Amino acid sequence: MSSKNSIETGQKPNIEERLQSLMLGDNRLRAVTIIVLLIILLFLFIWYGSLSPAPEKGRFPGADELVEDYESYIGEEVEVSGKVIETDPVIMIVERGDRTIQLEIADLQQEPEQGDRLSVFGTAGENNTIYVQNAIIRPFWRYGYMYGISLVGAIWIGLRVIGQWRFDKKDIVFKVRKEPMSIKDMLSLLKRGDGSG
Amino acid sequence: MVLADLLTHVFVGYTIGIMLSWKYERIKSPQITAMMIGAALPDLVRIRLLLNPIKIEQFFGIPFSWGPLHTLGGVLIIIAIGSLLTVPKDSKMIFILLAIGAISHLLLDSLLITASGYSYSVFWPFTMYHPPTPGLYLSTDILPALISGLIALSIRSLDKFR
Repeated sequence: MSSKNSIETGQKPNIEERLQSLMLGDNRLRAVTIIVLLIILLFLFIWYGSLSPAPEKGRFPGADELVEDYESYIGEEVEVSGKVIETDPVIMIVERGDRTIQLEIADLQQEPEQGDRLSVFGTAGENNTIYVQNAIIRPFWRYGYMYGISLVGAIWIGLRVIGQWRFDKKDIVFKVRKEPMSIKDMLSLLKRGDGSG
Repeated sequence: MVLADLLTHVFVGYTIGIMLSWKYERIKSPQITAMMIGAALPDLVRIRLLLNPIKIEQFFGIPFSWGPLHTLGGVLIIIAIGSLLTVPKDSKMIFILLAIGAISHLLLDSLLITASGYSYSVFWPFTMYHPPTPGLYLSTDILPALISGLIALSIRSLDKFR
């Protein structure tokens, strides 16, 4: 933990100096900084996982809470999404890992179809029934569209990164290529790789 | 949690990148790519589709969520790590480019329609507050990608003229 302290104590008096040595490429300090950042990130993952609902801040009980213990949220406003498995009455299944809960959705203005994804905001009542104030219905195929088009975005970025940037193993940094690599170059590189391997 | 489609975010990052390149000479195609990466970064939260946080909770016996990746605090840490992995003299610029991209993403997603009318914990861990959302569109809508794509295309053709 002495490494962490050196960063903390160094921040006040010597921030200029520290920044300068970061800029000069002090690899050890860089590695320590990255490790400290990763530890903070891990801490955030755990912290976020332990947060409770806070309706006054717009964070309502959801799938996590209702699947675990529906009864203790009766009478409260909840916001939860699931898959419609029956339409008369409307019943949706809400998942949390291997565990699920079936909720009856009452007072719904719209008419979802089986398989639709339903997000509701309403009051949790007796017998696993949610009395809806507002709901959003999405046909399942729309998710296929969303993931498909997201993949297009990811591939676009990927091609640009490979074409314009390279990882310098010696300096452990990403650098801009002096000569950008065209898609044709990438393909021929891929082919050569196959041939030799 | 609500997420817009990734392509819309990448179009927005691309558009802002080109416009910044008109003003700043140092911003060229590779730097525009950095902006696009920034605009995609908060969707790293989709790692949950591969590594189920509930399985992680059960395995280690501690609470766990990938949620911070789609909040201001988490994304700033990822960006700091990313910019430390670039050439030191450029890392400040890369940090700023990634941050502009990522903030555009978080802002756009805070406009998504939700059932409760509140978005998500945009500024966490600084505050847990979920700002009310104007509810402009759904992540599964087709229009956002179409509109942002058309804007990106027109900016690109303007860029070619210059």
